[in-house]
Amino acid sequence: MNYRMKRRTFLGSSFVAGMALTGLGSCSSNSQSGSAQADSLVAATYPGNWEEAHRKILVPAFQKATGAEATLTPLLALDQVARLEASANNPPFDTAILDPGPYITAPKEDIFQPFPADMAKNFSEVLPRYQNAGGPEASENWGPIIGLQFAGIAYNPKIITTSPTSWADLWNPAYKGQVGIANMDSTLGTGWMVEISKMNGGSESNLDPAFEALQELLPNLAGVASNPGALSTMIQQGEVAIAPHNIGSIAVLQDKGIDVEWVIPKEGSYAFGTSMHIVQNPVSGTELAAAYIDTALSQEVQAAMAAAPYYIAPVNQSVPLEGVLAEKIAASYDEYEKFIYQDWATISKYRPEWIERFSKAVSA
Amino acid sequence: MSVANLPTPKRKKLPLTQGQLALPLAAFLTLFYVIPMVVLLAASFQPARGGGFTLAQYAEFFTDSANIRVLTLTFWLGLQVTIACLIFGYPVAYFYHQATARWKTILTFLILLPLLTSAVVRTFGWVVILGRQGLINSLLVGLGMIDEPIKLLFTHLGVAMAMTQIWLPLMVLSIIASLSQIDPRLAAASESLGGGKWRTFWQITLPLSLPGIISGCLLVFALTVSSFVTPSIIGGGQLMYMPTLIYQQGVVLLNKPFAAAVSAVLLIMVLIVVFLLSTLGQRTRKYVQ
Repeated sequence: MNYRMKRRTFLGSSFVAGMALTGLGSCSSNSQSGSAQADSLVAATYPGNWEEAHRKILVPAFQKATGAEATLTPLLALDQVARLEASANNPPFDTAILDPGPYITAPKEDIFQPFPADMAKNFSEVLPRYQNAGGPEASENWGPIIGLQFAGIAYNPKIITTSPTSWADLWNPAYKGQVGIANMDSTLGTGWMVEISKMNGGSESNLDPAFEALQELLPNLAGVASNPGALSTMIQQGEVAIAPHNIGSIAVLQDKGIDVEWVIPKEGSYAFGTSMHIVQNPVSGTELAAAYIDTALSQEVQAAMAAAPYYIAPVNQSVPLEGVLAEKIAASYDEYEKFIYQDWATISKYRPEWIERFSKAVSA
Repeated sequence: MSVANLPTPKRKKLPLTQGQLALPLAAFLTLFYVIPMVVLLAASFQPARGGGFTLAQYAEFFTDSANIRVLTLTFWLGLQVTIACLIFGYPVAYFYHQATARWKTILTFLILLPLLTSAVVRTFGWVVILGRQGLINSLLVGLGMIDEPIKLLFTHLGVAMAMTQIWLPLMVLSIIASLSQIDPRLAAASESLGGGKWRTFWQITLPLSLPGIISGCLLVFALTVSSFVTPSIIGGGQLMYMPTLIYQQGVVLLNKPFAAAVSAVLLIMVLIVVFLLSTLGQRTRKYVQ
């Protein structure tokens, strides 16, 4: 009996003590987040390689530069725009990361704020072409490009023994059931359709030649990946032997020991940038959000992101071009100019209609 | 704060009915389910630009044969997966019901196992299994049953296979619940009256487990036709189902009213199936009692 009582009192008192500790703990954490709200930031990133790269490189660099914590939220570009639209007054993250397709169609005035270039000391180091995600002629700067992708032909040298030289090689009847392409929802997929159209006499505003060519490509298609990440998986699984893809994504596969080569077709490689933006009413405050993007543009972060195993081409001209990027893409920043920069302002006018048409054209 | 003014004595006499106990949940559902649903339905009657009332979104949906194909393909997928889950799930549930207590522990774990991994991981597992150099193809080629790998990934069949595995536990659990409610004396009585094992099963056990079959079918059908991750990864860009169409219209093309209309059509399809199955359920319940 006595023992029991003791146990009860012990349990009771420890319960009270536990509650008190929990209470104290929550109080202190409350006061922490309350008094120093500008000590943490939530940044959107792409799932997969980008998330890993940002977690290992950008977040620690940001913490070192500002002393603030950053939390990553992995989301596809379109999902970021959808969430910002749904709650512009109380955004779920402070900075967004987009590429041209979603960027052009996003209601930028409603969800982003103009980029405060004066708050970013590394901004002046960025090549002028990439200082504005909307292009050098855009009237408002909603944020800079922080890295580049270059699209070319990826192929498995074990199956495709002669190196492809043109986009037209995808139509080679020998590659029946071996070709993969990315859905037109993605920037990679839309960009590719535009290049195919140009190759067949079309343009950024006329995709009819590309749709005609697509019909002829159908017997060769192994599958249409729902996004570029899924296209990488298809190459990795040996599901696809030849596909249009980004150099960055292919270099990642090569590092994992997968049989894959990447070449620029004679029609040229189209380049597109990944951009970062400060949302409206950021919980972290504009200053901290600007500091995060500034860190992404810094020489240190740009150089680390450009190296193995991420291979995201830098835009900061103080970063030396090395390795795969120097070998396949450009030995100097002047050579960036030889790539094709598509007219996304024109493309965006027709894109919704094309995406629907594409879905119907490829549907099994 | 005039607590004294409250007619407390009168209140005390009022019995707390079961309905009142459900009030917190009702409030929660109204706030987070009914109101968003009304907003969604209202959005589906809006034109693509500006305000007003129009049936244009529904007209657009039903006049385009591509959309009708998406609708029928989704319904077909739901039906196939439900039937496959029933065929594979019933024997498992029956075996579980007959098993000893020790086996039941092991079986519970095995049945629940698929629910313990995330849908994304399971789906990527299926990509590896269904691929050209995947498990199924290597096995069939190795056994010499086929010369060339067959295409399973990015096909409707592949999606249906993966979905069947993913939703199978729900069917099994529903049927187990129903089987365990059957009075074991009924089977004994049937046997003592000369009914064989098969006859007892067909005339006693199966009809009495119908409520579980129906609720399992309802769950599997509703979850299959509204799945997004598995159909989009295993189906790829060439197979479009209702949830992928909603995503494309709403998130990619920012055509919210049309996406809302597609959602409403999907909802109506599920409601019709729910209605038909629950009518059937009502009848079988009478039979059970």
